[in-house]
Amino acid sequence: MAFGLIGRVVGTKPSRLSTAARLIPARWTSKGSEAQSKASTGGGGASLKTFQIYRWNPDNPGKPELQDYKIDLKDCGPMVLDALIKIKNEMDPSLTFRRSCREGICGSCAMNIDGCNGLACLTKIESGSKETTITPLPHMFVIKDLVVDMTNFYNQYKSIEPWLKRKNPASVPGKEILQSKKDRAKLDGMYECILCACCSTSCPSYWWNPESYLGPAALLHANRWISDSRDEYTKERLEAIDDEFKLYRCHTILNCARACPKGLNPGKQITHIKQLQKSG
Amino acid sequence: MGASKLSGMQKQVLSLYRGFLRAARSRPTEDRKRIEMIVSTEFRHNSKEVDRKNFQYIEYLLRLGTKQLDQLKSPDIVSLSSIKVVTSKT
Repeated sequence: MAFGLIGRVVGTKPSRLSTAARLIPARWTSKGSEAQSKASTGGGGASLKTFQIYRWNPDNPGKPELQDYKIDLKDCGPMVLDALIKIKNEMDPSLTFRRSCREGICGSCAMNIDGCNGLACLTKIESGSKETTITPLPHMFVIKDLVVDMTNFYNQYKSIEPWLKRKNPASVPGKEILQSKKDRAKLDGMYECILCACCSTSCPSYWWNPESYLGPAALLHANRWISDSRDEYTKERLEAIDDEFKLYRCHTILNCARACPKGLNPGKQITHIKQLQKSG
Repeated sequence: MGASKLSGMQKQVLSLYRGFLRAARSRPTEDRKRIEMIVSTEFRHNSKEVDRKNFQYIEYLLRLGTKQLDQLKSPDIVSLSSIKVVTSKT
């Protein structure tokens, strides 16, 4: 019975493939219907969505502008990054943005979509005819279009010394430093950070003091190393950030927890550091 | 040029220029001349071409220059060279 069905399927396939295989499939996909509707009026069957994207070119420097692009949502993937790639491929190759993994793990495509910071590869395009505004991460220096200068952010991360520091060598030399499951569980909610900068650039305190305040991302990582049971420099780490500006610019605004695309809560980790400072 | 009181941005540009010249001083003579030539032509060109009020672009150039200066100061960097690119606006 099953063989008979397969036989029938195999029988029909070659005929489809043999006769101009490249022409026929176009009719069966939505692209065909979209091409027809585009030719007619452009509004017919296609659901067009306007994207307003921040543009600024350092080679022709003028005032930054919001440029409109219309995308047919039926012919585009569900995420904002798909729309950006489609615009770059088909409409405007000069649109510049960072992207890498397209799955929300690298943190390259962080940008401000409709007022909220997030990863373009994880933010769904809102259906409906409302315009979507895409701008670079707020209060960051712009290099070109949606690409921002992250050096200050990375330097702040470097300044908290995000590596294991020990005074005594490992108990079994040459082997791993052991850690119980409970101690490892203390790091949950901090190790997942991908340094996308969505949280830091959503913090108003970070906007007003970007050079002196470390920002939620760096402080989250500081807490990650402070809470690591294998690290022996806890006291020194706490003293290094026990600063009016580095730590205490945080006023628990908690925009960071709202913006984090991985669902982490940097504000909670900062509160943990503050508690340790008070008790230590 | 307002020689009486320089604005903060003008002071930054001048200190960047001075930084480049100082970095050039620590290099052998031929490299030094090349660096000074490149840096001075770049600064003079931009001073004529860039509008004084275009703060965003000037700050962008300042940041770019500071990064290049930091790279130049590092002992790993051997020399500085520049290529002239002519963009044809079609």
